[in-house]
Amino acid sequence: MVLIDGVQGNLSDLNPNNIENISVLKDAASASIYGARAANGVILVTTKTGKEGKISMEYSGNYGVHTPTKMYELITNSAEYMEMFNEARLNSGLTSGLYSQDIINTYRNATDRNLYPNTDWLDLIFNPAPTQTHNLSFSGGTGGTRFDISLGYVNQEGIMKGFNYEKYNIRVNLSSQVNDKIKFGANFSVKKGVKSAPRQGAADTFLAAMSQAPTYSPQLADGSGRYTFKAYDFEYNNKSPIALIDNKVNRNTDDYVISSQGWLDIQLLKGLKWYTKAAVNMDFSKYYDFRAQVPLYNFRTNEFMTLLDVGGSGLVVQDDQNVYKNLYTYLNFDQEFGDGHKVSAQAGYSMEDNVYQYLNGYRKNYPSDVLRQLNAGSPSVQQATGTQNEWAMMSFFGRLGYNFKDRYLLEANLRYDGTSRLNPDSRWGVFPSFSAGWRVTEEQFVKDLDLNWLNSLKIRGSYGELGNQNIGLYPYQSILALTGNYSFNDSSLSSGVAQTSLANPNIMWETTSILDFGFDLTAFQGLNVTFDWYKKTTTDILRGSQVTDAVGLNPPTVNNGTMENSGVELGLQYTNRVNSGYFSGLNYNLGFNIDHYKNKLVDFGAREISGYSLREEGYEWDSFYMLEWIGIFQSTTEITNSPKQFTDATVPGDLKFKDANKDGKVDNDDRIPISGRYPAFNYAFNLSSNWRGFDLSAQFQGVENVKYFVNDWGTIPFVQGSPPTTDWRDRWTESNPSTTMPRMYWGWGAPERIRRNSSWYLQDGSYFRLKNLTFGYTLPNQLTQRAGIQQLRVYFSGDNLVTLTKYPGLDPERGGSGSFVNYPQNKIYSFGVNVKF
Amino acid sequence: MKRYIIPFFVISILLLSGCDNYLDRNPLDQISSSTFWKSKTDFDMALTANYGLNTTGAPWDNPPGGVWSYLLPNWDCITDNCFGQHNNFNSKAIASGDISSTTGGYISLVYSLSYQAIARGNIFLKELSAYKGTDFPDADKKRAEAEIRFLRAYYYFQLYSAYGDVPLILEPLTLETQEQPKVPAAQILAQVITDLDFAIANLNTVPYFQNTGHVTKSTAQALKARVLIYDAYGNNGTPNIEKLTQVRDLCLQVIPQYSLSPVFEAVFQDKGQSTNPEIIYSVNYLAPDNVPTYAADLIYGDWIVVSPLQSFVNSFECTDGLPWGVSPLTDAANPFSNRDPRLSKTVFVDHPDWGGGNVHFPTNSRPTGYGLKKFLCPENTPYGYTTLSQQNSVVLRLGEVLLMYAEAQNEIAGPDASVYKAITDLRARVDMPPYPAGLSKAEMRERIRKERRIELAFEGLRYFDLKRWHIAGEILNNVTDGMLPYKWEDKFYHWPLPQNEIDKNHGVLVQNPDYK
Repeated sequence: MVLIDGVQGNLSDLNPNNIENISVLKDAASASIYGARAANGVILVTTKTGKEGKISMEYSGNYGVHTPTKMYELITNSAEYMEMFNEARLNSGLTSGLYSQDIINTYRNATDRNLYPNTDWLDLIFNPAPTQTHNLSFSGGTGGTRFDISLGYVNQEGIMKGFNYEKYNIRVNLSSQVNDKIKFGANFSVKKGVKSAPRQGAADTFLAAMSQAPTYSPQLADGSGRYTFKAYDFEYNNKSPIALIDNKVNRNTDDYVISSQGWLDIQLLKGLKWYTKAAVNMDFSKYYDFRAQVPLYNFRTNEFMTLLDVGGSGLVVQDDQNVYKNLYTYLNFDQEFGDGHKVSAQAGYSMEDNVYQYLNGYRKNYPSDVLRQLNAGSPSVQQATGTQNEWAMMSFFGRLGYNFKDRYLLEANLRYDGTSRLNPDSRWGVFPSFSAGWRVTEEQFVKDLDLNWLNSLKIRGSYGELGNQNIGLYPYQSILALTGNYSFNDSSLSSGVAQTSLANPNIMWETTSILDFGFDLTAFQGLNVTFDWYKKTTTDILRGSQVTDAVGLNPPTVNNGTMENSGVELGLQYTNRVNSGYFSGLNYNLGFNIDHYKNKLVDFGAREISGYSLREEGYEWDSFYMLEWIGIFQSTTEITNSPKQFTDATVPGDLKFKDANKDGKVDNDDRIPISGRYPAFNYAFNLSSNWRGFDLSAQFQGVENVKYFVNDWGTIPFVQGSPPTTDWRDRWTESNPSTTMPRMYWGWGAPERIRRNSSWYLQDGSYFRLKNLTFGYTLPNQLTQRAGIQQLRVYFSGDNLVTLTKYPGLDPERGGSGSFVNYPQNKIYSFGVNVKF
Repeated sequence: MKRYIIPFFVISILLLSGCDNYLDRNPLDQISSSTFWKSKTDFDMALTANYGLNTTGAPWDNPPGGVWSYLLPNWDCITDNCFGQHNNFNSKAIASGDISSTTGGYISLVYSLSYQAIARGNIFLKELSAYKGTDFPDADKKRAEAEIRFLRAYYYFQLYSAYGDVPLILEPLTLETQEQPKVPAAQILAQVITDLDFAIANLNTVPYFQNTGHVTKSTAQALKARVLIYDAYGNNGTPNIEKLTQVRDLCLQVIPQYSLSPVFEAVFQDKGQSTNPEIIYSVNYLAPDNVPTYAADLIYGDWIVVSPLQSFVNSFECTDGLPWGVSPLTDAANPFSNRDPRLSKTVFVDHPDWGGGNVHFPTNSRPTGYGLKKFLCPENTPYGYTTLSQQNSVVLRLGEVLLMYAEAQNEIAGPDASVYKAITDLRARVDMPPYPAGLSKAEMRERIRKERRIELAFEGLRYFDLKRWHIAGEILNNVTDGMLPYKWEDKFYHWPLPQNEIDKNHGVLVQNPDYK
């Protein structure tokens, strides 16, 4: 959960330049005050406020170039593609729809690559793209009123053709002191986003580009500008992304996010404060999705073939509106008694609700592609749809704190949360938390030890419970869907209503309890060490139950299962300044942190297997569960001498699986849990330094021992005709007895024996990368002040410049199990300037 | 100042906590089950949703649509009739004998979709029996129950013929009761018959075409005949006269109420379907709002989802009633001339041509050179993504009932005049001559089996015909022009249960031992 100035928000709607401070809360005791949705941690963002005094103006600008960090290497030579195509089809028993040797030879020997191309479709779709960012801000304060006003603009062209994004931000933060008792303020921000993208999004456009043969170009060779369907009838492909993008078959979205909040802070008595905040966040967006009619032609014959698949025809316009309201108020008491006894207390109340609605209009028939408004279409076929949904929460919360001379720190929190998502009998939950700290170095007996190297040591512990109810909007309600309409009489439509899900009204809050012990240590005046051990236990997990097909309904939500995440985190920071020698005046900071955790299902109902995932007591949540791949059959003798695999017609070159239960045959009882769903550890290094106006910083990050199950495009050759990746050059054939790449089959038409879930499809997603490198120079003050400039800094920055990984194809940081294809991570080179007046 | 603050604080706290119902948020576009099932209108809508279940979706939707409606022709892709280049419902793996519990496609869909339909029916029946409202007269309730039980029987029959032993579910299941063992296939069949007998006793007696799209007594009788004839050859192909007698008697009750559509293709094309006296049950579509996501015309006329095989085309006789190649009318240069007119009404060569320049050139490849014409509408050209196909999918029709009658009567009494008449009527409508007189029982059996393949081609019946006659191995292992190697093993008479179901039932549901 992200809280922007105390109210739930979205980081992508925020101008990063407005951020004053970000902090992350993980332990339950500190997150507790932020309530029910804090179970997975809270990110607190504070935006900038003005400072009393002179008004300052600041400009920052940045220009960067983005390229994908990694890209698939596909076979782009047509003759090679055709030979592999034929081989894969024949291996799959598909004896028709093959390229003739004549065609292959023609392509191989052609000199006119216009007519006989080797098209690299990914190269056509991905291009370096520029991004520019400008920010201007004014801040200051006078007479008890402070302000910070900022304007931002981002123009980002996508590295994938057809993607463009522009963002405008404006923010006004005001606060005012009415008198010595009363303060009030308001934060107001507006974002406008203008997005243009192919209508089915990035992954779809990407895989459409992969699913094209190199044997034809996007447009006909005759120079007419007409778009190509295929070169040969029997080829398989997806829609041409170039035809789609060039003809602006886009979804264009304008998005306005307005966040506003006002607050009032009243000092009632000495030590007693009353704080109230009200916020409304509105998100209005509207998209136009026009499906132009684009004729496609045969590349060889130039004959008309078909219209581009744009998912129907006509125009869809949709208005989306989301309004979130939040009001909270609390009394805060702080008092010091006697000699060093500090007591604090807080009691408050919060309510929030969210209402989403949309209205969607559609007309099917348009006389041309020029006019793209609903009224420009014919009313002969038109549709309107729309709905609204909502949720609400209410909470009471309190806190008691005691602090003796900053030596002993105690705190207790209590929350009482209610939600609309649960039924009235179980919708309220109580969530306590406690924390204690001992600042050892404040003890006299430690001070007496006179440990010069030890500057500060705090030992702390906390335990807390948080509730989660974030699963669907109406999970407990037994509802019937409007579905299954049917025309009995062939002239009018009757409405259908049916129960489609099994309901479970008895669900209650899921509880996450977090136990945390740790210490913070400062030594040698510059070394900071933070260590935490934690155990996070989630009980009564709210989840969709697995139900048998015999039930015939979608599964209900249930409270079932206990999951444990236990781990350690260690952070080291060393800050120092060189005071003599050539580098005198050099400030530097070195940091390292590492975290390691183990996930385990300690309690679960009946085990659930779904596809390649397993949920069973004693294993990781969604542990990989599949056949273990142990090699590639090299000969028929090896096949005969190995356990029979299912009822397969195994041939040399096929995947060999382990007979895990040693019953002499390989079947579904040989599926085993395989670790790797969660990384062994994450780690990061950082370095920053400055010297005589120069500054340099570098951040490295890495993930170790995580695996992803990847399939379809980029893994399986010829899915929708997609060219194989170049590592298939090393596939098993009689003359190339590979032990890693099996015999090549035909896409989704491949036999089951190659497509079964097995560890052959698991890829190592470990990586180590230079995440960011920034080098800057701040011009000498004396120089810039002549021009009325307080500070002028120029810098160069690079993101994702170096990556070490074994992960094939795309970027491991974006990796995940399932379809391999997603929008690539960017390598960014940028140059920027900050000017402060 | 201070004197205002305290009251303000108190008032605002009261305001905030005053709204008790702040947390009561209900779905605004779905009906709460506590407010439903309160009037006959509610039951009407629920009945509608039983008819309209999974009819319009695309083959790759989850759940897919059209398996037993507009995609019925795709079933023939696992037979000797055609090849399915798009591998819808994994037809390629099934045809080539690559069948296991994780094959997916039909192997898992028939299971999940059938139980989905059965659950919808069971919920309806439970609510109906609890309903006490006076706006729903008992006779109407009985009829509604009969319609639901007809549909339940239809889906249990799918399970029976695909898997044999499966769980028998007659009440809505819950989380607690979800794991169910399978029962012997005979018990499933008995339930199908019980439901159909109830339907026959309680449905309207008017023929289907006069009953505004609701199933009627004769619909249930025709389905019962189909069920019984499926089961009438035991597990080795030996006819069971007792069952066939029941089939014959059911057909005799249905036949007089219907008449053959004078124009063969009118049964399948939109313009000819309304109140067509041949149709005994169809799944209905209505443009623009209730049509398949991808039009039937697009799927068959442009994508060529179904590619008729050369050997299938060869099985059409010449107009003289003699086999192609044997008949003196055989014209090798013009293979479609002098042929059974049903050939050019069922299959197109290269592209559909409706005459007068009304043609459509398909965009996808034509692996066999042929495409499926039977279910296309001439008025819908060009077939594209914007086409809205509202032709109904015919599930039961008089043509099939006549063939069932002839088949049953021939086994019971040999090729008597009534057998000849049924076949002669069917062939006369397409100007094909009657069979020669004096056929033996065995000859007649062969002719009828061929006739079924021609007349009912791509209506989703071929696979089940091959199974019930127990000739699947003999036929399918001898397909040589199938675009992929065909393979049939006798264990395929019953498919494996989907692996997901075995996993989810934790040992309660046991896999078919042939697939362990």
